[in-house]
Amino acid sequence: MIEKNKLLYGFFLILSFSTFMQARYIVLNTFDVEPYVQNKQGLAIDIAKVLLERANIGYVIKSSPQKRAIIRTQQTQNNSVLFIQRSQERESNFKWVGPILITQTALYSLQENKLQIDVFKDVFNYPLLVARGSADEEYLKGFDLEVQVANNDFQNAKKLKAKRAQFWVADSISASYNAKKADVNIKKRLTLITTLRSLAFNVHTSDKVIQELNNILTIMYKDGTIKKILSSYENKFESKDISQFFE
Amino acid sequence: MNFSNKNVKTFLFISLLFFTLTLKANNNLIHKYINEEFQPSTLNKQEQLQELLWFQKASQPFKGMEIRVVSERIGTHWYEASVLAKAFREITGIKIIHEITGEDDVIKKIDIHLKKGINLYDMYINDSDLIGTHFRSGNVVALNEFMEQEGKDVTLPTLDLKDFIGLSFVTGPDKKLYQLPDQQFANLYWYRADWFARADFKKRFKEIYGYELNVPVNWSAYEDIAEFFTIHVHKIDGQKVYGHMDYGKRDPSIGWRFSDAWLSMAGVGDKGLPNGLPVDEWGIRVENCRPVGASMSRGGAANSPAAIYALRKFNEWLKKYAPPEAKHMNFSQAGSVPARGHIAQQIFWYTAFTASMTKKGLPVVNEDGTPKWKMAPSPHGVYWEKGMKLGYQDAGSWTMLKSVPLKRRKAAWLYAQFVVSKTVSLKKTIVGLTPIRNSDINSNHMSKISKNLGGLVEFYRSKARLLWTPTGTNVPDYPLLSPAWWKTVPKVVEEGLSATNAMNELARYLDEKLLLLSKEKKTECSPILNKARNPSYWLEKNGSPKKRLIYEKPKGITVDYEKALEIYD
Repeated sequence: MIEKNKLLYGFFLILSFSTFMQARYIVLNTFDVEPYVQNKQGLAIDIAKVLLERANIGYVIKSSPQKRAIIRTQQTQNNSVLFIQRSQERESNFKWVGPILITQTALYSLQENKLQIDVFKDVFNYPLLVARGSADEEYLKGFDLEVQVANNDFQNAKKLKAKRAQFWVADSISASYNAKKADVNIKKRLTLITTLRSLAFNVHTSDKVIQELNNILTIMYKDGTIKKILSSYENKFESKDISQFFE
Repeated sequence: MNFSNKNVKTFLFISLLFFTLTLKANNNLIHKYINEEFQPSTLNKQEQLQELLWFQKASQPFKGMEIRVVSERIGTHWYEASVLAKAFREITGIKIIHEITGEDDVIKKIDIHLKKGINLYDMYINDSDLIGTHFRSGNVVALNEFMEQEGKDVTLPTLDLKDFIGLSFVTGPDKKLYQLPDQQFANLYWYRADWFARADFKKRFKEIYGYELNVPVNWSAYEDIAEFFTIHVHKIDGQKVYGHMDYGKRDPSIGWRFSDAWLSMAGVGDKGLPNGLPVDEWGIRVENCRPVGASMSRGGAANSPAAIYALRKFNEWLKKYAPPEAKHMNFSQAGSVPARGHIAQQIFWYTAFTASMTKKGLPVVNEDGTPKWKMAPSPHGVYWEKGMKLGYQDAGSWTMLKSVPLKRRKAAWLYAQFVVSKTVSLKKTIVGLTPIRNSDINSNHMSKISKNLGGLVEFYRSKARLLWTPTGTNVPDYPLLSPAWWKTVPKVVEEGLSATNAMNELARYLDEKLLLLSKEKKTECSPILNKARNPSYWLEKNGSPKKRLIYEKPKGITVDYEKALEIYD
């Protein structure tokens, strides 16, 4: 009888431990979006790592195409996806920790472009370059605008350089990073929309974990951690559009 | 340096010439806007000139600044972002980034700004549904104080606050003005006036139901009319028609249907305008200004018989009388459906859709441009009593947060006043059909165009308007509490959960969040939950929560359109 009790006790311990581990261990699904995430590294990864470490949550980073990363998170417990735009359409499909990063989508042209641009409507008659599958593409679609879609923003930077279009819509960090990479002088003409990029969790993730992570993230904004991580990338891209939020 | 007299004179002459030319160019620009864009106006051109010159002068210290604001995506704000922002920049030299996004995103952004302390925008156009959040937070600037104190030098002398129709929506229990309305629209009853006027339909309806086919006053009549068109009429000119339209997809927008007004139409809350007191249309009870619970066990009404009736009817009508695809739609997908010409009536229709529903060529618009449809006050549920609110009014309103540096707040306040000023307000109202000023509503121009607007002008000129109000001050944290609705309602539509169980779950959710808030920052008006009691304790008392009525479907009542507004006088 004692042996049986010991066995039961052992089983209970293992069960408790595995449940505990399950709650404190996540798969961080990512997809490459330079310079935020590239080969499991980058600005967004750095922020997520600090967040999870402060919450004492173990993680493994898994890289895959965007669509697969999102679907895996929707379908599998203890999975999360970094980083996607929190939108009304996606709201009910995930539980959210964010914003991991705030980005600004803007309209860019070559430095030499002299067209007068005051409001978004001023460019409605021009084709706009945009990256496929990005939140920016979604945003432009909402206005029923003519877009030229490329696989990534590096290609868009090259297209702008080659004068294949006069305007390029991208978030400010991506634009600055890719323009530098493509060796093209660009000019920001107009900010279009501020976007909140989040870490999205499977809907079965406990509310307590989500709440805890959001609380830690708030502290990371208030104690300057996010700003510090952002500034560590300042030699790679222009980040003043983002750092203005902390002034 | 040694200047001769001649040089000094030349310099002064050139400066004066430059100044004169600049002034002339500026005046030409202002005149151009007055003549070409800001017409019609309730001001005469001289008065418009005076207002615009005031903006130009008051903006001098902020010239060259870039100001960021955000609003939801409706026609009115698009006009502001693309026309008025440009005009403001040209007239004042202040560059405006007016971002347009979904309302859900606006709420998330202001919530993050408030809770994480990140200065995302210099001002927000934020629905007044957050008034309960704002007055409790301590982080939102009371505009009446701002206008008298640090913002006095940038407050338009001709702003004329008394002219705004929605000030009660943006005033806290402390009588302070926390927001300034920028646009307003209501949810009303929408119906095909041409079909309702057909003698054959009228005759058949009376034969079946025993009363006239007309504008429904109560939910019984609405239900009968829904059944009549979906089941009995079935087809018109070979096309399948439906007596009801709504949406039921799991999406934040399903929450708006409920948090906006559904329970108030059913009659869940107490009497009181703009919101019921002590129990509002969310079913939240306040004592003084403290929320004390949403469940019946704590004196609330979120799971009361009236609330259960409201959800049951919503689900029943959606499944019985709406097009089958409606239950898989969200707000955006469902919005354009009545314009396709196969819907006879819709109990909950936002007047913000008026402009898009009056476009020539639509099956619901006559060849002369007049609509085949009309809007009228929404019918009420069996628990509704005179003295209660009856519907929802969205009041997107300028909101200023304390964390934004004063200089930026002042520049943003100038833009906020510009887009609601009398100089531009009537034109903006005509473009977006979201009136905020009495002077615009009662203008001759609105009378002239009213025949093309399906009853919008008549509604806004009537006293019935006062019964259409936004979420009020009982809701202490809108971003935290509002997900309760969209997380619960779809379980009834999609999973077959009973209305009773769903509303119990909803009431629990609201109570849990109120408890959470009670443990956070403690202020004079922060929640403290009542102790849980047997619900009968509250049901025996007068007012909300109300006892279950034995007959929840009394006889249907309908009235002529002309009388539909008068009955709320």
